[in-house]
Amino acid sequence: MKERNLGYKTTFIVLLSAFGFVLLFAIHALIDSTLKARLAAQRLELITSVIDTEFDENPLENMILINSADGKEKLELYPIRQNGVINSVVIRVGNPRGYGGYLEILVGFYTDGTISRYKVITHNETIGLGSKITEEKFAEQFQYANPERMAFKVTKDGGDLDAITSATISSRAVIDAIQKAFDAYQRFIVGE
Amino acid sequence: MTKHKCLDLVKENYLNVYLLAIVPILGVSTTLLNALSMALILSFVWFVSTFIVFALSKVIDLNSRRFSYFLVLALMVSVVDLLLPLVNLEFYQSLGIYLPLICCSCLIFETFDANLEKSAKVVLDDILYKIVTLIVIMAFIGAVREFFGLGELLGYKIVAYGIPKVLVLQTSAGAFFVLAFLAFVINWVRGEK
Repeated sequence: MKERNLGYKTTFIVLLSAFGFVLLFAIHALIDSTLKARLAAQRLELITSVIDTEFDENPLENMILINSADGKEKLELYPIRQNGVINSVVIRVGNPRGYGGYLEILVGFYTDGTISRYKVITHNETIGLGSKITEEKFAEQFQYANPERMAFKVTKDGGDLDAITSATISSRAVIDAIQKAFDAYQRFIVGE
Repeated sequence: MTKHKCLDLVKENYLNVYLLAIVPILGVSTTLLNALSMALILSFVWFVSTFIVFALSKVIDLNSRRFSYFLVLALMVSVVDLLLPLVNLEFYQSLGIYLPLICCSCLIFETFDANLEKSAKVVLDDILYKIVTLIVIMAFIGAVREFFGLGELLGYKIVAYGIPKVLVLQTSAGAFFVLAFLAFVINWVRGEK
């Protein structure tokens, strides 16, 4: 194969890059709105999975930021409204003190502060031990629990909640996160 | 003489190249389906980029082929990165950084026979053979990690209760265990010492 000069090669590479740029730009422009709609639907599904009340307004559009109890963080609060009345809220809360670092959960509260359910969004807990925080067996004890009317700690710390066997730190992290969300919610109600 | 031997070691040892190249996609091979999907995506990107570069061999010089390959490869990975969330959003999100890492795998594969003047037919035959091998290896790794790690296969529970699960296979280190075991078995069958 004969050797071509440098100008030819450079032009070829530049043209190839330009073609690539145009192609990617076109694909992005085509799929952008569809993808955003998909992501929004996914978030909505996540949020509504922790509550069991009906709603007729999109909680994503009504999202407000509230202060955590110590005032250091902003938490996302999604009010669930039907006929203009809030019947429950969902709070997104993170805790950096999981066994594998940061974990993030969504907690659903009825208006009186009773927990409806929680769901883990991200976590890095040990597979098979700490990762059981995502399982129903651990999660079901929080259903209809109210952090104010019980000792909201693991039994090891003198509380009423069962920790996951050999994953006390992960269990504590979830409980602390829920407590944080609850405190923020209580303060938010009082402030309102 | 020594130089030749070194070259041979690098050139002939397919298994080493394979080990190095599939490391970027090992991380997501926790289940059979994940491993298979990842292997298929990698094969697709690899095959299409090579095909495009060789189809353009009339206009691409031998010594600018590699640059063109890099560009086409990056382009293909970006296209997959853009289109995959439309096909399966959950799978795309579980991949995370591992999807762009396909580039690395392809580069390692490609570096192996870069700048060699071969006919397109030879190269494509070669690549098809390698792709089949890759898919089989990844499927095996995924199946072993899912079966022994979770006691499931393709999402169905099939291991009887009471048999302990080997949880370490579900971690990233587990992938290397399976890979090392595979290399051992292959070498053993080939009769190498």
